[in-house]
Amino acid sequence: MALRSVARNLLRQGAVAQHLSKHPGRKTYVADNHHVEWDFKGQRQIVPVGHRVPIVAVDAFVAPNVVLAGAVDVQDRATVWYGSVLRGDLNRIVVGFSSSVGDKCVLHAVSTAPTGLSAETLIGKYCTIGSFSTLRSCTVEDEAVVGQRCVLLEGSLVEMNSMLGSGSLLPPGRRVPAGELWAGNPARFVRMLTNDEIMSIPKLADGLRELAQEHAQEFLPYGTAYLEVEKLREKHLLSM
Amino acid sequence: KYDYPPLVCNVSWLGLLSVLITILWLASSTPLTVANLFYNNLIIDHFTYFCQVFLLVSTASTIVMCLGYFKEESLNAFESIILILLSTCSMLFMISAYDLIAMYLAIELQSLCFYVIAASKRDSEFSTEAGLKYFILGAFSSGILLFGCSMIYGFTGVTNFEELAKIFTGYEITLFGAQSSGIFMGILFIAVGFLFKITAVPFHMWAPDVYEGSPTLVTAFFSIAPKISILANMVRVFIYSFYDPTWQQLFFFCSIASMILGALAAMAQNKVKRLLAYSSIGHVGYLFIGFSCGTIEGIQSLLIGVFIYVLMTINVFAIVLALRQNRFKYIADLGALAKTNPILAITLSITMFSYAGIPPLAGFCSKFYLFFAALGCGAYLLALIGVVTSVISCFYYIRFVKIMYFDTPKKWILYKP
Repeated sequence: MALRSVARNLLRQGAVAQHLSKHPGRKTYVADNHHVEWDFKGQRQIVPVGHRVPIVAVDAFVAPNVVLAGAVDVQDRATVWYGSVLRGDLNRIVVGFSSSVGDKCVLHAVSTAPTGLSAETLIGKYCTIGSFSTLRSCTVEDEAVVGQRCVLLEGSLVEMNSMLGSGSLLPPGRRVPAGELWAGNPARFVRMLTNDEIMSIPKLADGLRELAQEHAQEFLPYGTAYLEVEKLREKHLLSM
Repeated sequence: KYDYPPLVCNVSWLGLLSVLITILWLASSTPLTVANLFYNNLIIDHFTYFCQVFLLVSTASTIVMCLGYFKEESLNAFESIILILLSTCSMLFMISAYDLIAMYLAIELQSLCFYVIAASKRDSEFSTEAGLKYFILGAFSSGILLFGCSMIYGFTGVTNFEELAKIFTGYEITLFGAQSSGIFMGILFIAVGFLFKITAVPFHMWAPDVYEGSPTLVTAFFSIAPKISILANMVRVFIYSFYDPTWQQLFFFCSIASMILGALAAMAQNKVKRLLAYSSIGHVGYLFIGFSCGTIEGIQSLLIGVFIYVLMTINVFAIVLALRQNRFKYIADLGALAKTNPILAITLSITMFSYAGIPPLAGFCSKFYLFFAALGCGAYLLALIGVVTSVISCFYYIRFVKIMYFDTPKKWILYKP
């Protein structure tokens, strides 16, 4: 079995090489049986990259279809909602205490920052990142709110107690000063936040946290998927 | 063969198991009568029984505390666990010592183990400094103690406590008379050596430095276990053998001084371990209240006080060891603990309230009994100073709670559970 597959593979590689030598520059697609189109394990949630292992605090809620890759540090009581991707393979990503990253967010980190700021993606405490946002190597300080569909490009900085309106884009190296509301593409100053709004930001984060608690209660520390896998294996008469 | 594994965790689990087995063995063999072993060198009675079981419980709790500690510190020193067990063994001997020589040997064995584990973190200069300080001062105090023993022996010709008790019954130590002055000196030296060992005030200089320098686990062990054993030994020596009001004045003074210094010096501390060192000095002062009465109630309240003090200290050090990430050194680092770890914050505040002696808690009971005993034997000044210093020390214990619940610090420290 194994020998045969190896031989087949070698033959196929030879065929591919012949094909490439015949038609240079043409892309070829050859199906090989090492590529599976259905992985029974699904997407792993925590993907170490090299020596950089994502750290998730014990009371943080990370949704099951989130991908944490590389140096990601999800601190206590933080929540990462469904479908987000936190890819800290080039630099560090920190999701701070009790802050939440909404659904379908993408948090990258570039290797070097164009500005003097660190190229890490840092999210402070009690932050709320709206859904569908993209954050690349930006710094969001404590108690800031980033609305839905925001794009924070590298080296941008959202300071304490400030808000970004929905759908705004923060160009590289832009700074949103403390206690202001910015919106637009590229983001511009709209108004100063009132004190009540500033005081309500941690409450918003806490509310999201409580919601995440309800979600987290639906998950067990160990899934039961392995039982299904064993059943499948028995069904297909595969040796364990 | 096994790729040089770090044996710390395995050894500590085994050590814990051995301590528990020893507890079972001791607790199951309840002493019905007073038994003298080894030619009257050791004694087993109810007092030693209680103290030994309690000491073993405290050692077990210390080892439980250190299970996570070594892993996080990546301190591969399994010998420290073995030394803890050795020193526990020597403290068991110390509690049941019934002879000056047995007492001294047990104290010396315990101290030697302590010198080594104080300096067990070889790559930190604080730890080596602490070990050195502790070694020098401990050796000095052992020398003083030994000199006192030799004086006693030289002027009585007896080292056994029972014989000493027979000699000293109705023996008024007066400074007039040739032999009694020597005996007086001997008792004084023994008392000073003991006070060194238990960090009572005039001889407390090393304690804060050693407590701060040595690894936190070792600090916990220093502030929990030796207190029990040395106090038991002191009760044995000074209540049973040299029962006399003259040296009680010395303890009276030490008690007052310890309470005052423990209250006042801890106010100015910013580092947690130093603060705990000073607070333990103050608590030794409170315990000496019961000691210097010399009445039955005094001894009872002393034992109650030791029991409660040790439980509280175990609690505090367990919390400090749990918060040990990120170089948790200053009290200000406790900020926002109420938000990050609310249950831990509640536990720590309850423990601190108990230290301070807030009524519904155990620390209040112990202090209350101690003051009650002091009033019962007519030491009104002692009780008064105790109450005043306990009110003063409320200040810095409650400062912990205030920092945890009301301060918003600059840097938040998140602790791993």
